[in-house]
Amino acid sequence: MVKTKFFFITILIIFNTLVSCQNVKNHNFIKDADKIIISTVLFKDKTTEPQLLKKDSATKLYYPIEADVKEKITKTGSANLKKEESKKLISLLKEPSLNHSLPYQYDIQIDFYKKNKIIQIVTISSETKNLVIKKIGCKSQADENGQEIDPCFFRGMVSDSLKKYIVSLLKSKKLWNKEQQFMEDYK
Amino acid sequence: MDELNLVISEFDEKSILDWEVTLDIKGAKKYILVAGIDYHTGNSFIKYCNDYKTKIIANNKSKEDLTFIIIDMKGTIETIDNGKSISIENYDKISKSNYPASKGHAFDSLGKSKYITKKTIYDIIEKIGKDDINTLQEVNIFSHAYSGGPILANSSQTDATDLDMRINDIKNRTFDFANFKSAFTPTGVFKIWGCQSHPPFNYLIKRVMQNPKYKKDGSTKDSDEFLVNDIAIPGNEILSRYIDTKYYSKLPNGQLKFTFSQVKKIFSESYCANYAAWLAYSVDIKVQYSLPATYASFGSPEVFRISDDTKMNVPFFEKYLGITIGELNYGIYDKSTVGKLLTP
Repeated sequence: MVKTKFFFITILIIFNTLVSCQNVKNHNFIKDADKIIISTVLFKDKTTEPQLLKKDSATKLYYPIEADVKEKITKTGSANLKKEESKKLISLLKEPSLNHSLPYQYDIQIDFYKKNKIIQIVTISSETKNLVIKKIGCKSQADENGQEIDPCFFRGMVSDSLKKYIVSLLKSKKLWNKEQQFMEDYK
Repeated sequence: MDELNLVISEFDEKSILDWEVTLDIKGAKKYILVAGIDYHTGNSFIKYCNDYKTKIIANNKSKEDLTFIIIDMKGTIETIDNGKSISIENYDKISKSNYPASKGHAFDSLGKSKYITKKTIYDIIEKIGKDDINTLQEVNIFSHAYSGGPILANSSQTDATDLDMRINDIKNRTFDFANFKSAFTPTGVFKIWGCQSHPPFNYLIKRVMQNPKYKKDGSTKDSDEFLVNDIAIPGNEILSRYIDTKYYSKLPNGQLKFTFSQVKKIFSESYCANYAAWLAYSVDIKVQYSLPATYASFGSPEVFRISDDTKMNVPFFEKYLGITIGELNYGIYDKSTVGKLLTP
């Protein structure tokens, strides 16, 4: 009985190790960025903007007055990360959660620079917890269904520890005020 | 039926791309599965159509004849009858190059015009409604969405070729409502799997539902008052910017005061102000779509579903607005519910 239990625990540990190694392997993280900048972002498009409504006289249903809201992404504040902050951030980015929400919007962006050129971009949504990591300059490949696969593109969600660290960074750099939180943490 | 594998370059404009109800599929129960474009990558959601088809086949215990019409907005319409592909129509292909980042990932036709559009889809449904009535069990749209409609390819209504479904298609009666309705079986459903989330509304409903005055059992009184901070959710402007001033009072300390009746009005208006409500009310068919302040996510299992972070908003709509909840926490939009909520 003890042997069986030990066997299953060993299998579980091996499985967990394989899964977590896979996560790290998939990400292609930049290790040698010489500058990292964290920014807050105002992302607007048709999915984020509540439409101004008008009542249709025939059906009494409401319809949007403004037809098309174009995607507009504006940085509202930025700050450089210190060396030790960068190190901690990168280590937390290596352990994201899986799953992903459908909305594309984000409000936090982290740019990784090398010799004044952006080499990797990370975007995070404080509403959905979506995390997207994209290394610049990778070539897309087509899969058997004709879909374009970018080998340097990761889509997941922030882990709890990454979320807490991002919030502390944004607040310490005065990019967020005291009240601001990830959506799930508003109480 | 290789002769039906049409290639666009081989045909003139009139003879191509004209999906028909053929003898093979007459009388068979039909499922239309549409894969919209994930416009930031240029890929489509075709995987979710294929997975959904597999699920329907697995659940077909009574071995009914099934026809799937799989519309991949990337450029193909495939008809599969009882497991056998009987036709593939090829349209102009959509790829990442149709979505330049410099244009905010809006659809660029690149000078071509033979793309699959909403009209293509409306036409197929109308043809079923004319030639093979009451056989369409489901239309499923796997795509991004907003209250204005499913975003099939992120086109603009001012484009020469507008691909996306919109409220205006219904408001301007761009398809025949009677034929459209006739296509569906008595239990048929039009399912839109995308989102309808505006972060400030998500914040508002959460604040109300977290207040001890809010009762899960439906006993919150219309006159109960709720105070909410008028703050800016990250990436958004302050809450009051998004709400009609008749639905709150602003207190001297900057907080917003809502009666529960006003909260109900805000969300019942949102329920009646989207593509699903228009379709359900105008055509009189059952539509399944996300409720206001909810969004879709996908993970394990790999299906679209209302996210864990917003599904707690769903009971409000069921308990206080009398809305039926469908699969995976999506809402049901039907003529009688929309009509009831439109009544002052």
